Amino acid sequence: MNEIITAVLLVLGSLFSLVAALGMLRLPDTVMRMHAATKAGTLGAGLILIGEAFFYAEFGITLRALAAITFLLLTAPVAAHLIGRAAYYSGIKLWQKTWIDQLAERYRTGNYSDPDPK
Amino acid sequence: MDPSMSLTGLISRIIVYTGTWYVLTRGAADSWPVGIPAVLAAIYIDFKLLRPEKTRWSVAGLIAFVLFFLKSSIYSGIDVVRRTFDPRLPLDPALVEYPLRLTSCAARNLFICTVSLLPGTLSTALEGHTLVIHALDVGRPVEHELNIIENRVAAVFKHQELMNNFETRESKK
Amino acid sequence: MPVDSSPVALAGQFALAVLLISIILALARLVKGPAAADRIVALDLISILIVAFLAAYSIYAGETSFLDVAIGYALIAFLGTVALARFLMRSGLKKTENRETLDHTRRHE
Repeated sequence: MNEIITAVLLVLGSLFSLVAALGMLRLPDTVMRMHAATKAGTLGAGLILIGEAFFYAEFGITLRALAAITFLLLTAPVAAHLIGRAAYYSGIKLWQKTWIDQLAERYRTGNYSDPDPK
Repeated sequence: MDPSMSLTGLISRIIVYTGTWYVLTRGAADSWPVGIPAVLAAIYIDFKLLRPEKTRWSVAGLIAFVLFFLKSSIYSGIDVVRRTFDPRLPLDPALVEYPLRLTSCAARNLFICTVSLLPGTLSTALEGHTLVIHALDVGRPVEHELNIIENRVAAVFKHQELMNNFETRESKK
Repeated sequence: MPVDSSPVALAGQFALAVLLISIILALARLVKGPAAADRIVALDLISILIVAFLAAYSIYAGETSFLDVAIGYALIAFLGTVALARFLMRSGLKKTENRETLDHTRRHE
């Protein structure tokens, strides 16, 4: 039974990683590629690590797999945040249709309680 | 040393770092000559760089948060799948300036990590009390969803005060 | 090594192959990416993919020490990415120091 779970998680995890890499190629913008890498990449690696915990079914391995997942979950978003900040401050060109100035005006009126400002 | 260092803070840090080393080295007896200096160095850097705060965890909030996080992670993966294979998906990206309501550093860290891993949002920059988030689709109520996530993160810690935007926004110029 | 026809072995081979293809695709972005930030994100993704590859290989080969390698690698690769991001930030700030106002992506307080 554990073997089947591991096999399924392996396949799913690798497919999510493939999607992350494909997203890196196909998405039109740097920040959107960060979306793909952070979310799908971390999910793929996390699923494979969980599969490893199921495969060995030992306490020590499970603990280490959970530690690895925790490190990934903590470090990948922070890395994306730092890269995004560096790109933001160095004036990166976002996708043309990104709302920047219009949104700045809209949100500056202080209407923060409106959940759907349109 | 930082005068706000407390005894319980010190003990909990010793436990956490020693436990981490034990987990990583499978408790091998001959790793401790390297392990003990490593743990001490980690505690020292911890007090130097991070502000030691009193954070109380709430177990119920933590469990609810973990479940919510797991469910949302799967959604975010599926969301990336959809966006990759169908670039004509309703994509209306924007940089959203979100005024943070959480106050403590640990809570903000958790919030930023969660926002980056959830579908459609990625944190970009932090300026004072404002978090700049790149949202993939502003057709959705982004701020409302962020409010909900912030409430859930606040529920993980006890006694977590959420700032009221309007009072502090004027005072922090 | 698990027996060749067991589900874990098959899934392991599939996962390793797919991860390898993913790494190559990310390398393509590394070469192509017009901005420096694209390349740093590609490196970040490659390090995550390598962690996944190490974990998958640990399952496939039945050897648990690869998991320790994966943990160590994840931490060190993160340090590398942080260093690159800081470098990008400094060079970006230096570029904009000579300009009076920052680009359209910067808010004016």
